[in-house]
Amino acid sequence: LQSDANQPIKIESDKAERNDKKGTTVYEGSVVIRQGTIKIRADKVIVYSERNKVDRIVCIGKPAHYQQQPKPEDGLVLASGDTIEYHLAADRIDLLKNASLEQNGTTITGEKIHYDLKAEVVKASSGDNPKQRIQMVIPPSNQKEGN
Amino acid sequence: ESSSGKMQWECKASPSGEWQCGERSLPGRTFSRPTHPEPEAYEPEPDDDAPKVELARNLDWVEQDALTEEQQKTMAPGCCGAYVEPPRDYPESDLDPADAPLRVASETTEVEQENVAHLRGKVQLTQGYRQVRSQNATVDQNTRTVDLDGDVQFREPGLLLTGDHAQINMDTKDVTIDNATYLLHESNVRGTATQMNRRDAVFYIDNATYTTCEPGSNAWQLVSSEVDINPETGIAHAKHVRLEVKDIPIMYAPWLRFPIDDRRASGLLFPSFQFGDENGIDFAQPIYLNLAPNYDATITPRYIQERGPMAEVELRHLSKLTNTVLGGAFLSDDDGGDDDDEEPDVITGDRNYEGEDRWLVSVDHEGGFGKRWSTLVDYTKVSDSDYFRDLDNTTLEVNSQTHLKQVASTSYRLDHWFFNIKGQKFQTLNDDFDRIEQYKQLPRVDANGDYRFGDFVVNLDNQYTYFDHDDDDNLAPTNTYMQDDLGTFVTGERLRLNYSVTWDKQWAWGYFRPTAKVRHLTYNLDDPIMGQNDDSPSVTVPTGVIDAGIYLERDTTWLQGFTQTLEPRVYMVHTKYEDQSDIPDFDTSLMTFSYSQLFRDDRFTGGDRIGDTEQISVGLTSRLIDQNTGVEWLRASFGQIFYLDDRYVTLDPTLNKAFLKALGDPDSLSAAQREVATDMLSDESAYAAEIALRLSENWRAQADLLYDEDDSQLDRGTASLRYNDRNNRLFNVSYRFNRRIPRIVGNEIIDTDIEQADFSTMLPIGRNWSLIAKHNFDLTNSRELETFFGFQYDSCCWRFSLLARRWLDRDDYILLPDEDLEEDDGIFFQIQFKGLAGSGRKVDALLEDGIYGYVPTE
Amino acid sequence: CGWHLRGTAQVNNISSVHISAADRFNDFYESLSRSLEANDVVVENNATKAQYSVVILDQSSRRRTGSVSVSARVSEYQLTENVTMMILDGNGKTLLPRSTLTAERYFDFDENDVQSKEGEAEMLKREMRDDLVRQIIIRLNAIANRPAASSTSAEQDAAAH
Repeated sequence: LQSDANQPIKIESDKAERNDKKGTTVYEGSVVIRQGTIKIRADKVIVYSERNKVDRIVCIGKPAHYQQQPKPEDGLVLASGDTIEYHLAADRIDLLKNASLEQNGTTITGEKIHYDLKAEVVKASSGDNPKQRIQMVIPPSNQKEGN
Repeated sequence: ESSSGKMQWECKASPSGEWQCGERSLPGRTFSRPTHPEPEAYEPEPDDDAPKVELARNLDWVEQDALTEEQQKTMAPGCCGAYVEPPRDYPESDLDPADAPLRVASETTEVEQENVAHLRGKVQLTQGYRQVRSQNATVDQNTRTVDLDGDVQFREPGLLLTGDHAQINMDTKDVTIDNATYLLHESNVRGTATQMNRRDAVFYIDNATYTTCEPGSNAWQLVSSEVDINPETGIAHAKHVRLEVKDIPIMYAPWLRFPIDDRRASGLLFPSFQFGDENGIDFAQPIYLNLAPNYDATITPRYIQERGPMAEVELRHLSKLTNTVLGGAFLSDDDGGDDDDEEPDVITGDRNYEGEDRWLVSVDHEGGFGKRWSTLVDYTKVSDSDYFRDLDNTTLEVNSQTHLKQVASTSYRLDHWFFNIKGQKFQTLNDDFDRIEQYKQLPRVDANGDYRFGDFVVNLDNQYTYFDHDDDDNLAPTNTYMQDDLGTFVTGERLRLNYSVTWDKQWAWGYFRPTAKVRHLTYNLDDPIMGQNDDSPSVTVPTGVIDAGIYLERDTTWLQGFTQTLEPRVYMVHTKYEDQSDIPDFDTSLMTFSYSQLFRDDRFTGGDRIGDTEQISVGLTSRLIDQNTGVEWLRASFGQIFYLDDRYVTLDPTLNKAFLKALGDPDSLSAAQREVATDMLSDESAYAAEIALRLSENWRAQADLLYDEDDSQLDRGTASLRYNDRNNRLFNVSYRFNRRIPRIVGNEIIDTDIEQADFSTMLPIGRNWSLIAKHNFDLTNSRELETFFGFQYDSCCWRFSLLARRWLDRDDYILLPDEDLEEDDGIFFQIQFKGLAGSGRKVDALLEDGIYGYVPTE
Repeated sequence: CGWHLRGTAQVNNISSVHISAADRFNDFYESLSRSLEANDVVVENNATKAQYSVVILDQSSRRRTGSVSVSARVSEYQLTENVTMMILDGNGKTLLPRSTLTAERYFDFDENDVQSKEGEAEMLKREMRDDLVRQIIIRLNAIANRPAASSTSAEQDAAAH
């Protein structure tokens, strides 16, 4: 939801380790991050914070999963990627390598996908590897009303 | 049906238990709507099967040497390649776009909130069997449309479109494409357009070009402001149409309607052009009007330099059960033609038929396909007997006709009975006064019963006919048996019954078929025939026939896999003599003697005579049969009739029994009568032999021979050698000799034997050229009957034929062969743009008449 | 020299034949079914129940001028009858591929007796139809006598013809 950005972030994991010098906290082992309707699951999460304000969260998994309910009337947005970077200030999610995002039945896959949470704009590009082009699948109209 | 090469026949059992056999061209036709599959759950596809749409090369046109064996079969005649659709082997490739997910791949994608995705870079999209590629695309899921620009290529089964901008509706078949190039694979139609869109499966093309030539050839194309093509009906309409040949505009038409496949030629038929010494320039421009799916009209304005303007009309109506063609032609105030061999009328100075109207009316109807009832009308009437010679495409075939059949009949078939009512008369085409009008059968009623009880076959044939004759012309019948006592043609009713029982015993090794038959004839004449007084003569004659034969076989030693048969046959006929001199001759004559005559129980055809017969025919047939397919490679037969008693029933009553018995001096009879008399008193018939040989798949040879031992001379000898590969590669050589009674004119004895040889060929040379030649020579009078020579150029999208011809022009007054008949000659030219307009029928009709086995292709 | 009477085995192992034709009430269908019955073969109405199916694909007859007289008028007519057919087994497999049979006859034309010559033409047509029917029956017999094992190779061989 729009309000997700200012909800508190709760993180659970098997293990956590704080490194004040670098200002990072590393969580490992079935890490789950929740913020409002946003839910991220990954194997390893690194939280970067400055002056104890969280600036960037990097989640790594095979793949890491991201889920959010952007608007009450819309369907869930499901995304995944080997690396998910959540830039809180820019309110943007970057999905890198084996990136995939699904919303209202439409699925986009590719090398890099950028998802602007506020503007709800998804940008995807094949990056340097031409073979790995961006793919998008839109269901037929009759099937869409079905689910 | 000469397209056996490229089509494949397949039969499936239909629910009604019938075989549904249809021709299927390879590769398969357009996709029918597939059943609605349940779309499977889809997770993000791994990249390797992202939609890949190859770039179409050369509009899918593949040269011949790059085609596979199967594909080469689909090549249209004259073409050196074919349009080949790349295979669709990606998932969901058989789904209808409306039921399939849209899969699109691109280098970058940007999706905004209102579900509008902008795709950049090598966009490749598939949706069911629809494949699209372009540089960029915008997919708007709210309006369900896809906008593409930059090298757009759109492909659906049987259709390829390219352009620089396009808009596609994801849920329907509507497409719009700008600066388009289009191709319909099935009908070889391609062209360009400023804009092309498809709504409800109909293409609307603006500023279009349209051609069926292969890419790169500008042999001809249609340029039109607006064309719409409907693949379902196969009909296209065009407005403001310009036809360009090699980019030179040669014709303009405000509106044109033409077929995009060969369902039916329509639109502008192509002009036919002829030049002959008698008619001068003869130009005809047929216009075809496709009025409705089941009826159409062809109107042909025609200009004949030496005769004036003329109009021909043909209306055609097709229905599931009937097929009717009405034809008409009218030339008012004929200018008389310019036939220098014909002297003008000595008094008026007019040429033949000058100032007269010339017309033709014809009705051709067949009805009742697959039904118990059936109807038939075959009626042609012309204004005068020279109509065909002066105005029609004068082949020897058409020119030599002497009578026009005018018949209408309807019949009904039960399991054991067949009923038919028929009216039949003829228009006689002759100027010569000794050719008499023919009898009219108005009506003739047949009721034939046919029963089979075990091995017994019972036939109950009944026929009633009223023979009429409008002898308004002052021509008295020459022979008495056709004159009544007032000297005019005898007319009246005839009832003929023909009841027979046959014991049809068949074993594997042979058959024995005795038949007992009774024939009854009774008349009700308006007046008795000349010299007789009974106006209702009648006669009843029993007949006994025994037909027996055995089958001997052996496997051939000198040829593997063949069986040779030896089939001796004996055929005995006994029919008593009954005097029939008070019976007229309405429709009876002697049958042409041949090997088959050995096994017929009467020598007369028609109903007015029951021939007295006391004979035994012996025949031997040997066949060489391929054991595997049953195909007969050789059939040879030889036989003769032994007459056990003289025969006295004749057509000419003066040759009655008493007269023949006292046949003292032979020269009291005319030559024709003497021939009949000696034949009736001879003890055996001529030897009859037939042979039919199949030399290979396409070569056939045939010969038959009648040798008369009494006067040790050949009665008839014919031989023919034919080649036909069912793809219009033809070769025919035939020779006919037929001994005829010489005719005496003045003091000259004229040899009227028929000895004619015919040679005709259609020889494809190379891929596109065919040589056409025919030579029909009369050896008796050593003169040319009909000769033509020409060629045909058959390219991928057009065909051109040029023919030079010389043929013998009929002259009814000629009696002496050395009074040479006039030779007419002419040049015939025909051009045809395949897929646009049907061919002018002129040259095809000549070839069909002239060359045995020629079948005009589309 | 090897001649023997045709064995009974060769003829009666055809039990039932279905004739598949667009028009079941025309003369050709009539004479084919009659002569099949004469050979004790049941003419079966349902294609799948019949042992063999004779499929009549096309029929045509043609009359042409055979020769002309002194004054270039018809003196002999040539009649040809063509039938294109194929033979299938009970479940639609092609046993004899599509082939065209032809019969040809000539007859003298007499201008003064056109009605009778039309009658002769009708009779010759009947005789040609019987000739074509006999050829079809010979092919049916050949197929019925094929040794079962070689039927597939026979089919290719037949296709080669």
